[in-house]
Amino acid sequence: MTHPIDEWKAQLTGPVNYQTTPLGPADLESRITSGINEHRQRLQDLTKLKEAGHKLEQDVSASLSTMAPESSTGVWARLPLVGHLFAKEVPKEPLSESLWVRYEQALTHIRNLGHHLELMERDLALMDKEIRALNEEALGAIQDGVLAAARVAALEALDIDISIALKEPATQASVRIELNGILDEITSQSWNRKLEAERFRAAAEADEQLLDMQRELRRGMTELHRALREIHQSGLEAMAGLSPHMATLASEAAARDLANEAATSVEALRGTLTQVCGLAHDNAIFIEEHLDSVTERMRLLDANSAERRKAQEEVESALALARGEVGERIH
Amino acid sequence: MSESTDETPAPLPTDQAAVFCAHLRAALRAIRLNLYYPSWRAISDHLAGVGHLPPDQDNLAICPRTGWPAPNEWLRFRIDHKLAPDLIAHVRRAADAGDEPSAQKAAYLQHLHTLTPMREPDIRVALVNIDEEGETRQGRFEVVMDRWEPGEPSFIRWTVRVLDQDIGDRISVNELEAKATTAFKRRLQILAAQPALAAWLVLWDDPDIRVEELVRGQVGPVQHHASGPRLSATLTRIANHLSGIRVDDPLSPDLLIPETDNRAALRYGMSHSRKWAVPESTLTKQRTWLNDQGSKNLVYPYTA
Repeated sequence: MTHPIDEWKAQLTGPVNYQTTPLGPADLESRITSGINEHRQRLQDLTKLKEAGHKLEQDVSASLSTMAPESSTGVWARLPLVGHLFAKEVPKEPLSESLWVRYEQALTHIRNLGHHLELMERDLALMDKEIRALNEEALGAIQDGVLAAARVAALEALDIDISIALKEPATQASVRIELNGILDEITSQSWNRKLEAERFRAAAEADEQLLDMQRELRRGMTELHRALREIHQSGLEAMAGLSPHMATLASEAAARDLANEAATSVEALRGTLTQVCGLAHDNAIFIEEHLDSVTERMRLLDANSAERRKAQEEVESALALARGEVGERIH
Repeated sequence: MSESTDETPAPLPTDQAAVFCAHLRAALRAIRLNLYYPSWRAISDHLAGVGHLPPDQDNLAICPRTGWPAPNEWLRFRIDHKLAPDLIAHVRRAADAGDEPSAQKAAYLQHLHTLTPMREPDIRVALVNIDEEGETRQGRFEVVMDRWEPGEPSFIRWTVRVLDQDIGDRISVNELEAKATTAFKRRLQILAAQPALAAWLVLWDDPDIRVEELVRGQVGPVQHHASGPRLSATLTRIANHLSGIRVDDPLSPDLLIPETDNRAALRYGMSHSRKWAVPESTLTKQRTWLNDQGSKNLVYPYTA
C-alpha cells in the first residue's frame, strides 16, 4: 500500500496565516502584562483627574460667588453703593481695586477649567482610537486562536492517519521509519500548537478585559467632562453677563471709595467740596442718578444668581452621582 | 476730527489682530514716552501677547471707548502666561500622540512663555531731600504709582512730589528703602481713579503732607483708521510753582476746572497737553488738523 508521505510532510510544514504579528509566547505575555499595568496607571490618573476636576469646580464656584451679590431677603431698599454687596467684610484694598482682582481670579479659574476641558476632549479622542485598536487586536487574537486550534485538530487527524498506516502489516520497514519520524514531529508540533492556541485564547481574553476597562475609563471621563463642561458654561455665562458692566461698576466703586475716604475726615470733606464744587457735585449727582439703576441691577443679578445657584446644585448632585459610580468601578 | 472715528471698531480677525498690535507697538516706540509715563516697553511687551491669539479664538475684541484691545484680551494673555507652565506638559503629551489641535495649542503656549506680561503695578517712593528746621525734620518725597485700569483699559503713571512735614527720626538722609504706608497707598489708589485736579485738591487738604507737584501721564486712547491706529498720550502737570492754566488737548477741550477761582489761595498752576504717534503716511494730515484746532500738540510718525 502506498502512503501519501509527501502529502503528510507537506501538512506538517504548511503555513498558518495568523492575523496578528507573529509573536512568541513570551512576547504575548509581556504585552498583556504591560497593557494591564498601563491601565492600572490610567485608573489612578483618572482618580487624580477627578480630584483636579473637583478642585477646579470648587475654585470656579468660589470665584463666582465672590462676584455675585449676597442674596437678600428680596426687599431691595435704597442701598448704598455696590461696595459691601461684593464682600462680606470691608476690603483692605479700595473696592475699585479688589473688584478687578476678584474679576481676574474668576476669569483665571474659568479659563483654567476651559483648558483642562480641552485636554480631556483630546484624551477622549485618543481613547477612542485606542479602543478601536484594542478591538481589532482582540478580534485578531480570536481569529488566530481559531486558526491555531484548527491546526491542532489537523495535526491530531494526521496523527491518527499515520498511526493507522503504521498498524498495517503491509507497510514497508523504510516507510515505517519515515512514518515514525513524522509522528515524532507531529507530537512536537502538536505541543507547540496547543500552547500557541492557549496563548492566543489568553491574549483574546486579556484584550477583552482591557477593552472593558478602557470603556469604563471612557465612561467615567465622559461623565466628568460633561459635568465640568456645564460648570464651565455656567461660569462663561456669568462672566459674559458681568463683563460689560465691569467698567461702570468699577467707576461706581471708585466713587464709593472716595465718599468713604472723605467721610472719615469730615473737615477735609467740607473744605474739599467747597473747592472742588464742580467735580464733587458731579460725583454726588452721579451717585444719586445711578443708585436706582444699580439697585435694580443688583436685584436682577441676585435673581440670576439664584437661578445659577440652583443649576449649580443640580450639576453638583449629578457630579456626585457620577463620582460615586466611577469610584465604585475604580475600587 | 480728521477722519471719522465714531464707529465702534469691529473685532479684528487673527491676521489683522497681529498687524494691529504690531502697529501699536511701533506707535509706542515712536511717541517718546518719558519717565512721567508708564513704561512703554512693558505695555509693548504685553501687547505682543495680546496680539498672539490662542488657536480656538477667531478674533481680537476691541474696547469701543478707548480703541485698545478689550479688557478681557489683556487679562487673557496674563492668565494664559500664568497657566502655561502647568498645562504645557499635558498638551505636549497629546501632541506627541499625534493630535493636531494639541500641537497647535502647545505651540501657542510655548510662544507665550517667551513673552512678558505687565507686572502688578506698585507704588515706589524715593527720598528727594530732608530739610531740618530747628527740631523739625521735613522730608521731601517723590511717589510714583503706575496704574493699569483694566476697565478702560488705560495706562497711567502718577508722579507726586510731597513734603512730609515731620518725619522725626524715621528716615535717614541716605534712605533708599522708603515705602508708602498702607493708609497712604490706599489713599493714592482711591485718588488715582479721579481726575488729576481732584486728586491735587484732596491732597492739598491733607494736614500731614504738603503736595508740591502732581503729574499724571496717560497713554491712550487709540483711534482706528484705515491707514493704521493713531495713538495719543496726555501729560497733566499741577504744581505750586506753575502759574496759570494751560490746556492743549483737542480730544478734551472741555477739561473740568472748578468755577470758583481759588487758585491763588490754593497756589497751583496747571498744564495739560496731548501728543500723538500716527502712521507716517498721515503725518501731514494730522498736523493740518491740529493746526485747524489751534493746537500745538507734538506729532511723531511711525512705520510698522
